[in-house]
Amino acid sequence: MKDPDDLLVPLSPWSQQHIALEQQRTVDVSQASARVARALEARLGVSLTAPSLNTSSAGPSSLGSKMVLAGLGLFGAGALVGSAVTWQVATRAPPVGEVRQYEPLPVTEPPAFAPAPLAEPVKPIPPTPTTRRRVPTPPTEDLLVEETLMLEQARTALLRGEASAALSTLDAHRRRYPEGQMVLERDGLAIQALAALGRKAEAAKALETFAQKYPASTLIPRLREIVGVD
Amino acid sequence: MAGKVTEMGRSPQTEGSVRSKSLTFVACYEQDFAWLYRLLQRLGIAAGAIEDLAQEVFATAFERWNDFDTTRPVRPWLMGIAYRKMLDHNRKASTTRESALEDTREPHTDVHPEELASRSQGLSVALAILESLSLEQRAIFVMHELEGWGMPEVAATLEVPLNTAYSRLRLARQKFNTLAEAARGKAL
Repeated sequence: MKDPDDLLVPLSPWSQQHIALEQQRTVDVSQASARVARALEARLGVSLTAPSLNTSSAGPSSLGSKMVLAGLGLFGAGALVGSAVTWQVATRAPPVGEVRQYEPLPVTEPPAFAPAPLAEPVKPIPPTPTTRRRVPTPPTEDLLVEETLMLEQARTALLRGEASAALSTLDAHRRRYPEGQMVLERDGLAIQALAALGRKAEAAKALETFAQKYPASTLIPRLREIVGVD
Repeated sequence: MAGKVTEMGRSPQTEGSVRSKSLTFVACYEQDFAWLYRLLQRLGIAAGAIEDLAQEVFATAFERWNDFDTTRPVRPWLMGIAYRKMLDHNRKASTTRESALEDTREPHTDVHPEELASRSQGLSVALAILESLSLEQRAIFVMHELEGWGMPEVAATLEVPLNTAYSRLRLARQKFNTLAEAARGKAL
């Protein structure tokens, strides 16, 4: 038992998932660190640009940690999407200067979810599983993060009004994780994408299947509303 | 790495004590800046204000360095400094709202108001949800659930009774659960 409060209000699995993702989010602070260091030097009269901290104008700083921003962008239209997504290994205290990343599993089809305005094509990742770096997390958790990431891409595409891109991502998810841990979310998103594309008959059929598969899902009323069926 | 240390002029320290102090402080800065930066994001500080607040936190840490027991973990201490700055700022902002708004146009004169903060920087769902919590609940949630600190340490850092801390954690969890569920439905 971690603490007494765990007995009273546990975090939902969904909350835990968001927390895990936030813990893995990394941010590039090398520039910010150098700027604040300069300000502090001027203000305090202390040298923070000692050899180990010296951040020259070119090249990566010795603060190192070219941490990669891994935004999820559920609510932010401009966030992420389209760039190759990398993740720092989850640690409670990320070590500065040592960033381990793992690449998503190879995507075999073109990245249809890459938004045109950002114009940064996703680099195809060669299917070489042996080069994938090891992450010290349980495989299921690992997969869950990957699954979630894909679904977030689809979700973001939907929110941007790019329903066909969302559908491509969801299809890719279906092929890669046919028995995944987030099948319910995927199916729900697919229904919404179909509806957004005006493929109402398909959406209604998918919704019917969804309702049979997950009769207790609280999403059903909302999906019915979206699809426009009773 | 003999740090260049100039006279500070604000305290009667000898040069030697200043030097040893600054070197330890340098190590702290190097090890904890990235952590502090992300912490401030989680606490809801706007992207444009994080560096200023980080500067304030480290400046205060530097001033109080000799009072800090360096055998203790430094991060809860830094968190406590940051939290009190945010509370102070919110208090000031609530009494003189107009001047607080004006302050934000001069980035280097003051810590930026938390209430004018990011409002979802689109970085993660968790951040967006955290913004809907009060600062008091958010701080506890971040320290306990994201940083993994024990509740006694959290309560001590925030200078609230343990029961209060638990009560806030419970409310924060309830709200987080609700909003996580809502976000799920909303996106679908």
